[in-house]
Amino acid sequence: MGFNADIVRKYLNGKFSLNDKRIVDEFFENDHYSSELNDVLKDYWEETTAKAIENNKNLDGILDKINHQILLLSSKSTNKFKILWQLYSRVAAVLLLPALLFSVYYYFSSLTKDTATPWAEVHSPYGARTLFSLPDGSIGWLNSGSIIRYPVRFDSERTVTLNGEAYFDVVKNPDSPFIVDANQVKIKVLGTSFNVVSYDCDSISEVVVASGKVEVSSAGQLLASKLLPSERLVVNRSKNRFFKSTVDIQNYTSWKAGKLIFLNDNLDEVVRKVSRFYNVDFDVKENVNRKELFRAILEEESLEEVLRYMKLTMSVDYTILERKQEQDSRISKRKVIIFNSIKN
Amino acid sequence: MANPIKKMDDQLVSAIKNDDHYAFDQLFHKYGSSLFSFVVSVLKDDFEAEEAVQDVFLKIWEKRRDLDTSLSFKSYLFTIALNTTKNRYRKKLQENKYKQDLAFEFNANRTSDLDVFEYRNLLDYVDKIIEKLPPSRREIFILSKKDGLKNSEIAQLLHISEQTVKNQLVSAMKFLRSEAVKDDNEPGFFFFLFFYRL
Repeated sequence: MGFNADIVRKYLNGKFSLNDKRIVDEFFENDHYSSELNDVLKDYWEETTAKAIENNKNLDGILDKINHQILLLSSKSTNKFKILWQLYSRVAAVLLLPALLFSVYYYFSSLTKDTATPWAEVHSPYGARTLFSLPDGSIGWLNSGSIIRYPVRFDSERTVTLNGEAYFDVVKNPDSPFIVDANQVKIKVLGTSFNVVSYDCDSISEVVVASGKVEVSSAGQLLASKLLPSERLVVNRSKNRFFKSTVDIQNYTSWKAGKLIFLNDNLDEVVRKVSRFYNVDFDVKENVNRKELFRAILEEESLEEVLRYMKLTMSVDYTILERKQEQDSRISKRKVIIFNSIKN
Repeated sequence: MANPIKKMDDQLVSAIKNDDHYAFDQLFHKYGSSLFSFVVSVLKDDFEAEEAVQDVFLKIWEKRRDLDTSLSFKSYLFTIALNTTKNRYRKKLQENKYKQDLAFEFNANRTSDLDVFEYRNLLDYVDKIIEKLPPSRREIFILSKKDGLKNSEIAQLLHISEQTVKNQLVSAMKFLRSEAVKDDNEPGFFFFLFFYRL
């Protein structure tokens, strides 16, 4: 049988007899026709890509699937490394980062002729707390899962960006305000120490002042507030509301010393702190009384100990689900399920 | 001056070589629907075509480091699309060939043109009458026609005699032919094809 381009074209254009189909099948199956078939298909491809596409088929779903696959592929290849990294980073973060940052800073500050200032970034891995120092000599602690970015050389303003929780101890310099840009919340100080919590995944940000004066403003200047020591400002970014109160600052800054302090925190607050401290997920069941308060000062306790205290003093019980391999081959975090211990 | 479209593609291709997911999305938005139209014309099946489009773009991402910016992205895309589509066509054919052959044998509008919908209905119709075969006979029939096993192999597999296999196949064909003719008479296979799905 000789190759017949007309039949292939007829087939491609969508009207064909069963006999035509069988002939086209033969062309596809038999490599003998390969080059002629490819030519016809190439011509057809040119036509298809040249003309405006009429079919309004929505391909977004396909793109989503492709991107999901890509994600799976990349997580597979880095997975082993990740697990090792998580173990290693707890130790390494605390020991190596200050030294590393200092050398990065030194390296970049030797290149001061550059016009654009390079930025450095510090990530604190989950479950770890990281000490950082800034180019002006200010220091701070970065809590688990947080990121801070800063220029390796400060100009007239000292601006850093934060996603997560950090405690800052800022060196005084009246000529150069120190500004923390934390997910639409701006904190401006001259020289103080304060704690900031602002995760991009939560709509609540929080600033607590340990010493000195702090100015907080939100995006669009819709609110601005001055804070004095022991004052705490909670900002609801999605509703543009804020709430000021006086607090015991220890409660908010003790994490940097590896302590977990709860001074009459409600369950939601407790869960938020514990999940960041131990890098676990929580699932709080519907029937749990979230208004109940928890009071404890914990130092160097295991997650199980903390949960046992909670069980003792509140009407909750818990169960811990160990890490497991997800379908996409990621290893999930440990998960704590909190449920009402009072049987109905 | 270089063709501006070519230039755009070059930039996007260089970007995806550096793992730029956004550039990758842009290439998809630019070529995805053309690719889909091409693939669906060949495969005549939306689901298969969607999977083929996925395969093609995944391959592009996997091979992004080897992309040659001096060649046009469009012809590179075609090369991958051609291989993917032809392989899928052959695979699909393996599944459907026996049904097609049966339809052909039952003289179902051998020379008149079908559109994609009618063609698919035809295969579904063949499926349906095969379903009507008694289970053990159907099994033998499928092993023979679809899986392409020899009578002796089927006999061995099912612990029956070769003669039994042969008899079963003859009865099966007889049955299928009579079913097809029956439908052809009232009001005709043609019509059946058009309406049985509605």
